[in-house]
Amino acid sequence: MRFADLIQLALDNLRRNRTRSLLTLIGVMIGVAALLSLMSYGAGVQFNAEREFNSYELYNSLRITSSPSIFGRFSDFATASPDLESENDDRPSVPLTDSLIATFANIDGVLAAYPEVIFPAKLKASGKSLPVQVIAIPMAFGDIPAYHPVTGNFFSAPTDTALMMAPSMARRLGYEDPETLVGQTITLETISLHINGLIRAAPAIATGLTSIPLIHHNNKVTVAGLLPEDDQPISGLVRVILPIDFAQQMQKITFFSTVDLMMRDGNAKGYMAALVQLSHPDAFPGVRQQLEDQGLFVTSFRDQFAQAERIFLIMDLALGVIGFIALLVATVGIANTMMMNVMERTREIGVMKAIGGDERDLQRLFLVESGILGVVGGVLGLGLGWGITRLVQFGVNMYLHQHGVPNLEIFHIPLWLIVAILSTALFVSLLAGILPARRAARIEPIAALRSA
Amino acid sequence: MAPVEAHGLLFSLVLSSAAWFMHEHSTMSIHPVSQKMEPFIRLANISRTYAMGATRVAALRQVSLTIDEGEFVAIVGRSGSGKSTLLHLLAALDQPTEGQLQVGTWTLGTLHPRQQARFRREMVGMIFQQFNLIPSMTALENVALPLVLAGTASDIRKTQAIDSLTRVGLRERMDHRPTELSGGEQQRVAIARALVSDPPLLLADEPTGNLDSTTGSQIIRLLDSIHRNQGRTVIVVTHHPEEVAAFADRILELHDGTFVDSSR
Repeated sequence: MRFADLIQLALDNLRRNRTRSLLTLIGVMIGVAALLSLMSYGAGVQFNAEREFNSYELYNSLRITSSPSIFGRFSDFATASPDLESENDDRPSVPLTDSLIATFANIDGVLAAYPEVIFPAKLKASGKSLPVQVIAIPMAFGDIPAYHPVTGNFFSAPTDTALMMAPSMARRLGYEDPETLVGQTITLETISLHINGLIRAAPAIATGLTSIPLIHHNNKVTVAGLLPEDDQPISGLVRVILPIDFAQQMQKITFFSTVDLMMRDGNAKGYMAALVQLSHPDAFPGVRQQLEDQGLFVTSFRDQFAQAERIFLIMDLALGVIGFIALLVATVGIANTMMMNVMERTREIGVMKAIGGDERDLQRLFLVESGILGVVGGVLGLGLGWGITRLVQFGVNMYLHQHGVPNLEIFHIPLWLIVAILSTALFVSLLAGILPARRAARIEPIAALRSA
Repeated sequence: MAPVEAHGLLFSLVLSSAAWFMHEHSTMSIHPVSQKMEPFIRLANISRTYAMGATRVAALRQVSLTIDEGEFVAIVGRSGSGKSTLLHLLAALDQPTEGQLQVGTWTLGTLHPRQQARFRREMVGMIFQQFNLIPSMTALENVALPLVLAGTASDIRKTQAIDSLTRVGLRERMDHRPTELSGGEQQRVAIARALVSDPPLLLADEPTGNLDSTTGSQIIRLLDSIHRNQGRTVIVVTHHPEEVAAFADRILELHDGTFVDSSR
């Protein structure tokens, strides 16, 4: 039998039992829609993370520390192989001083080397305040597109008392039109420890009776520019960018949690970490080698991201398994429908065999019917899943918008996901059709012709 | 593997391939090359027994028969006499328990299921008491179904199916479904379906069993005209010898699985 005739015959047969075929299709649609929604959510999380990683050119970034990095340990933890050796590394630590960091810039393939300056602060304007994370960047970052302001200008000097932020930050500060904030002076509040107060309060702090005495510094800062929002949908919510020299001279504490303090060697001198931006990813092995030869510890963001991708993979697998179970239930529905079709059409199968149909033709006919249920259900299910994800995304983004947060692509549907889901739907539907198809092929024509 | 063994394996592969090729191609022609005195159908000591629980029931016992090409043969007998079993054996829908069965160049009984299907496609047109049309298909689609199964191109099969329906006088009813046709019309559609592949052998199992006597005799006359005008071999199994008496070249009566009488 020709393949086109097989398809036509299979479609005719499915149309004969419209209600049953439709109910089976709905089952497949729900299964496929569930699989698409769950997997596109996983892909969305990964997509957003990758987008930020790429826009900040983190694949070109290295973090240099005097002692083994806490980030290194986190990534080791993620792969379930904690490097306990590094905890007891007794190599003399090399202090990360300004002069040492300056030498990194001379290594071939290094675009910029600068001390890691990152600290908590509070942004205040028009009576509102937001907790933020301040990150300092060198002037060389003016070349990275993610730092090109969409409104305003990049810093003119490393000592500029200026900052850059995402438009969403401005909106959350109450500026419905973020562009109006550019050029204005706002307050960046930092904190430092009140040493005398600390001594007085020490006994009470030890027993948890009082808060740590802090000095609040209200720094006046000009908004130099607004950064592109699409490249940093998540980090843009908390991140404020300052030029390196200005950030360094600010009164501040440079840790976010006690873990930061605990990881630091009490006797260590110099900066906690330095950051090195490579001019090209290929420079990575050479630069790393030269830095490690100096007794420094190098953590690459690219390696960390690779570890994170493993976590994404685990998450994708977990979501995929849940979705696949839904599809599997639908597949049982297909098998059931096909079994009923074979039973109902026993006589017809007998007739087809009597007039020259062979076992292979009948087997293929039922497999094609089953496959059509899978593919049509798959295509419609993709449509349904797309609709569900758009609806959820619309609802979530509407809620986020009310809070000044930019639109997020919660669900990401790449082409490979569509192809993979359609192939899976086809594969499992064919699997579901095997048993009914074999049963149809093995029907004895004489017995079938005698059946009512 | 030693070279001698390898040659042996290769040789047996070549031999088996050649045997397969010769078998496949020896049965390619739809109409067998008839030689004088060579019967078209030959049954030699055919028996067919069925297991019914612990007991074995013989439907046919040591039946021998030859039928020439172009003969119109009626097989009569009461229910359970073995008529339908014989017809099923001739259509390769069933296999004999023992004996040899030859139709044209085909030796039935040892065929693989796929070869049986091919034999039915190329050699046999079947007509049933219950008409056995597919209810969801139009008359034209029902008639074209054997050609669909044979992989014939759609334009060719449409032409052939219309031609076949025209031969049974139902061209104008080709777009009707079986439920919209009378019993006699349905049986004529079934005859058109049996003829559409132009098979040399037409097997009819109680073709008038579900029809009134007038319509039944019309159907028998139609089968007779097909036999006379197209030179096809027709074998009709019936309860009613009087229906076919005027048309059949031979009437064979089966009783308890053996032939008891033959006339003409």
